Amino acid sequence: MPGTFFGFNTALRGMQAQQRGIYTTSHNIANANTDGYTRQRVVLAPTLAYPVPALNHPGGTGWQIGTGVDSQETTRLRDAFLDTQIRRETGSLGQWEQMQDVLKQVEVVFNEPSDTGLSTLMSQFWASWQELAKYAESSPVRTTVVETANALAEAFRHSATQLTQIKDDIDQTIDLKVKEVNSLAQQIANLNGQIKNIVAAGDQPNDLLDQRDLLLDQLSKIIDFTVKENVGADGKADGTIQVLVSNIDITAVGSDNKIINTFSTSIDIDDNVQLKLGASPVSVTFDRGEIRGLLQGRSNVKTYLANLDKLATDLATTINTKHMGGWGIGDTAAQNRPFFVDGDNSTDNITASSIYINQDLIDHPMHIAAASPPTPPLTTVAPGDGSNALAIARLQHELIPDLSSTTFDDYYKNFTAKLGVDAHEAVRMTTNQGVLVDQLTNRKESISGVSLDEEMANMLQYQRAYEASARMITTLDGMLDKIINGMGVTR
Amino acid sequence: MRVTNRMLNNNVIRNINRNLENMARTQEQMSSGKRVNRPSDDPIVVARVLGFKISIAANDQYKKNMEDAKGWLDASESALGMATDVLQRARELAVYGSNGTMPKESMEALAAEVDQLFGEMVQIANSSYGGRFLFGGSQTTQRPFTDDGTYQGMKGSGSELKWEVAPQVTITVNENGQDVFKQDSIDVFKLLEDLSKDLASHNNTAVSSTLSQFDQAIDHILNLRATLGAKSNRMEMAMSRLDDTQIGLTQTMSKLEDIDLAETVMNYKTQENVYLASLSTGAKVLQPSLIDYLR
Repeated sequence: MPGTFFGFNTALRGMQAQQRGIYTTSHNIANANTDGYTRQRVVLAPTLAYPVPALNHPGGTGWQIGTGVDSQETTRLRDAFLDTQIRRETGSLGQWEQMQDVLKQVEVVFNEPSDTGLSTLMSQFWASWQELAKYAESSPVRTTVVETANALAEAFRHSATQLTQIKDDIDQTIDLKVKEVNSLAQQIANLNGQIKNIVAAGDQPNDLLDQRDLLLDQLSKIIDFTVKENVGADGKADGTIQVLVSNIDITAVGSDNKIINTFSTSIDIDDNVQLKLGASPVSVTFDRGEIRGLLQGRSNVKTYLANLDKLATDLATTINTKHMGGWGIGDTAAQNRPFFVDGDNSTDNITASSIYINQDLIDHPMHIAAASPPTPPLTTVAPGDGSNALAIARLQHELIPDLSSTTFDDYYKNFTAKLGVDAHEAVRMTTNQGVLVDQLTNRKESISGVSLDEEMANMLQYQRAYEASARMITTLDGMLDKIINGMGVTR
Repeated sequence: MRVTNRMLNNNVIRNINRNLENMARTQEQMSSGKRVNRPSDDPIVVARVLGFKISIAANDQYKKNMEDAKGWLDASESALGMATDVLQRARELAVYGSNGTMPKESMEALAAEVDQLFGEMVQIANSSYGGRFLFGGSQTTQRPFTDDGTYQGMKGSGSELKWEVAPQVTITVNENGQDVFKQDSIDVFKLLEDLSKDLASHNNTAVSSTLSQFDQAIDHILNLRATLGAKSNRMEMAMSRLDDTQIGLTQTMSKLEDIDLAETVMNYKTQENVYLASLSTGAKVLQPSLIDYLR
C-alpha cells in the first residue's frame, strides 16, 4: 500500500509538468516570428508505477498504482531530411539569382533593342559610307562619316568599360561572399563548442541547435557542403557537426577557437578567379550557391567582352585593309592611312576598349580614302570618285571568315541573342527555384512553424491540467484534514 | 496539412509581390509600347527584331541611293533632251544652209545662230546637279568642258559613279562627257564648229554633208537618253518594290515588338484586380487567430 502522503507528489509532479508545458508554449509564442526557430514540445511520460514490477510485491500481487507524470525533455519538431533538401535547392536558387543579376546588368550595357544600341550605330556607320560613296567630294558628308564612326567607336569603348566594371564588381562581391562564408563557419564553430558542453551535461540545447541550423541555411545559399555529426567517445552523438567542403572541415578550430581552414580568393594569369581553402590552401570548386553563380556570371561577362572585342577588332582590321588601299582627295602617293587605330595611334592592338578614329582623318576629313588609286598616267584621284567608300560600305553584307563566316551585323545579332537566351534561362531558373524553395519552406514551416491557434489551445490545456492538479492537492488536504482533525477526537 | 500563421504571412507577401511584379511588367510594356524591352524578355523575338531593324535601316539607305540615282539620271536625261533640241535646231539650220539659192547674208545669219547653239551646247555639257557636274565623270567639281568644247573631265575606267541600290547590286548613274558629246568619229562641238565655218564660207555642199553626221549624233544621244530613261524607270520600280518590302518588314516587326494596346490594357486591368484582391484577402486572412476569441 502507498503511504499516507502518496497523492501529494503525484499532484505536485502534475503541476510541475503542466507548468513546463506552459513555459514551453510561452517560449513558442514568443518566438513565433523568429527566423530559424523550431517549435518545441515537452515530452510527457508517466513515472514508474508503484510498486515497480518485482518478484516480491509488497502487499501482495495484482495491483499497481500510477505515480504521476514526468516531463522528460523538450524536443524540437523538425524534419532533418527537409533541411537537406531545402539547403540543396537554396544553393541552386542563390546560384541562379546571382547569374540573373549579372546578366541583367549586361543586358543594360547592350541596351537592345533600342535606337541607341550598337546595332543602330552600326547601321548608321554603314549608311554613312554609302553616302560617302555617292558624295565623295563633299566635306560635310566626310565629316558625317568621321562623326558616325566616332559614335560607334565610343559605344564600343563604353560597352567594354561597363563590362569590365561589372566584372570588377563581381570580383568584389565574391570577396565579400568568401568573408561571409568564413564568418558563418566561425559562428558555427563557436556554437559547436557551446552545444558540446551542454550535451555533455545531459541537456538539450534546442535554441542553440536552431541557431546553428539557421547558419547552415544561410551558408547553403552561398556554397554547397555536407554536414557530418561527430560521435563522442561513448559512441553517442556529442552534438557537434563538421561542415565539409572537398572533405575539409571548414569549422575545425585551433587552440584559440579560431577556424583553421579559411577561404581565400586569387586571380590567375588567365583572369579566372581561384577559390582556395585550408591552412595550406587547395583549390576548391562548387556545384551550387551564390559563389558558383558569380563565377559563372563572371565567365559569361568575359565571353561577351571577348565577343565585343572580336567584333571591334575584325571591323577595324577589315575596314583598315580597304581604307589603306584607297586614296584621299589631294593625295599624290599612296598614304596607307588606317581608318581605325588603337590608343597608341597604331593598329596592332585594336579592341573594343581601344578603338579610335585616326586623328588625321578627324582633322582632315578629305584624307578619308573614298577613292580607288588613280590609274596611270593620272597621279591624283577625281574628287567624285567614291569607289573605295563603296567597297567599304559593301563590307556590311560580306561574310567575314574570322567571325565564323557571318556578317558583322549577324555576328552582333547572334551574340545579343545568346545573351538573351542566357539571361532568359537565368530568369526562368530563378523563378522555378524560387517556387521550389517556397514549397519546401512551406513544408518545413508546416512541421516546425509556430501556430498561434495551436499554442493558445495548448495553453488552455496546460492551464486546465495545472488547475486540476492543484485541485487534487486541495482534495488530498481535505482528506488529511479528516484524518488528522476529524478522526478519533472525542469531547 | 498543418498551417501556421507564418506560412499565411509568407504566402500573402509572396503572392502580393508576384502580382505587383506582373503589374510592373505590363506597365513597362504599356509605357514603352514594346512587348520586348530587353533580350531576355524573348530572345527569339529580340533577335528577329534586330534583324528587321538592320534590314530596314539598310533598305532606307538603298532607297535614298535610288532616289539620288534617279535624280541624277533624270537630270542627265533632261540635259541630253536639251542637247537633242540644240542638235535638231542646228540640223534645221544645216538644211536651210544646204540650199544653194540662199543669199550670203542669210547664210551668215545662220552661222551666227549656230555659234549661239555652240555656246548653249557647252552650257548643256557643263550642266550640274546639286552643285556637281553631270558629265565630268568622277571629276565632279570642275567644269568638264572648256568654252571651246575641249573635254577635261574623266573618261574610261574610274570615271563611273557607281552606287549600290541593293546588296551587291550597283548602278552606274553617270555618262561621261567624252562618251556623250565626242563619241567615236562624231564630236558634237566640232560638228557645230564646222557647220558654222561652212555656213560662214557659204559652202553649201559642205553644209549639206554635215546632215548625216547630225543624224548620227542625234541618234547617239537619243540612244543614251533611252538608256538613262530605262535606268530611271528601273529605279522607280525598284523604289516602289522596296516601299512594299519596307511596309512588310515594318509591319512584321511591329507585330513582333509592339504591344496590342487593347490587349495589354485588359491584361493590366486583370492584374490590377488580382493584385487588389490579394491585398484585401491578405488583410482579412492575416487578422484573426484564436487570440481574438479567447478572453
